[in-house]
Amino acid sequence: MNLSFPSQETISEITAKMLLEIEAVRFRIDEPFRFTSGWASPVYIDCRKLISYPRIRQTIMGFAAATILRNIGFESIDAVAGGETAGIPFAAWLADRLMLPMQYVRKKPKGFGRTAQIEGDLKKDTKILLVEDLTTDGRSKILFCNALRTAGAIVSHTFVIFYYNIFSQTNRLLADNNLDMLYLATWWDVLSVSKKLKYFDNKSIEEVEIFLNNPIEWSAAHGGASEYPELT
Amino acid sequence: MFEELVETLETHNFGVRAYELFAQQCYQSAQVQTDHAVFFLTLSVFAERFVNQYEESPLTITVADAQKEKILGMIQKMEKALHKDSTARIELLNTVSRDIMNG
Repeated sequence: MNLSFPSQETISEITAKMLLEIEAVRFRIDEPFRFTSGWASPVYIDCRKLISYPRIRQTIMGFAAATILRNIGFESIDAVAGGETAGIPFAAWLADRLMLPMQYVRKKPKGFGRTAQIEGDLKKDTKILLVEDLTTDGRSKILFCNALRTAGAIVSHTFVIFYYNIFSQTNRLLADNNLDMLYLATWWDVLSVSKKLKYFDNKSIEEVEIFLNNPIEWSAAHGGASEYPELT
Repeated sequence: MFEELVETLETHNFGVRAYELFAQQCYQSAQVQTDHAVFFLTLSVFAERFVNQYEESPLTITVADAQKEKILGMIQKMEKALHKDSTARIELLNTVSRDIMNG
């Protein structure tokens, strides 16, 4: 395992640069997006694009391994589980890098029993790191985490490449479920690099900044959700 | 008959998650209100197709609004058909099914 441990600041900035370089980031103020939970938003990110760029994905996985080892420890995880679908390739590369077994978690159970939502061998009390591509409001992390815990795993940490970091309730939701989240970059990093490198026009940047500072108000004003939905 | 289903869509702001819950609710309703199972099943197929298409892709407000109009229109027609004879109901279900298949 050949690893370096750059500062978190450097990791975040380079990750944001890479996401912008491959056009995984979209700012659209005229015709906003609607997120799964109903939020209206002028921003969208597609982390799945990363899998098609070998130099970038290798760098990202190096950052991921360094972040995980620095924050969780070298011998504190027994396995890595990817959340269907986008989390699976990243979990596979990460498991390979950390020399750990891998599983993946289905969105819905297939069949019956304790492990109906899990693929791969999973022993009881295995300490698992849940991996996904991104976290918007944290809902899917809880659902995947519950599936792993039902299957007998111990899940204390989740890792994502990108965290929205704009919905204040997300941290509370994760904390209430005893889940600690690690990530490489947020919208604030993307905004900062976008400004510095002038990836988007000023009008778009200004509007995105308004959204990031008050996503609920922005969403409500653009026909989207106006309050945090219940976890159902 | 469909009020609770519409409420689910509204509560979750017609996002993909709303349609996911809506489809689950349709299946449950089909098991309880067996005389109208085909209406619920048809609606669930329509909702699931939308979920499959957009749960991991960018959904714009325009597309989301178009889907909202479609499903609310469909529900309204079904509500009316409940008071008509079986020929009219089958005709509506065939029309709706064709619309679903044609995307």
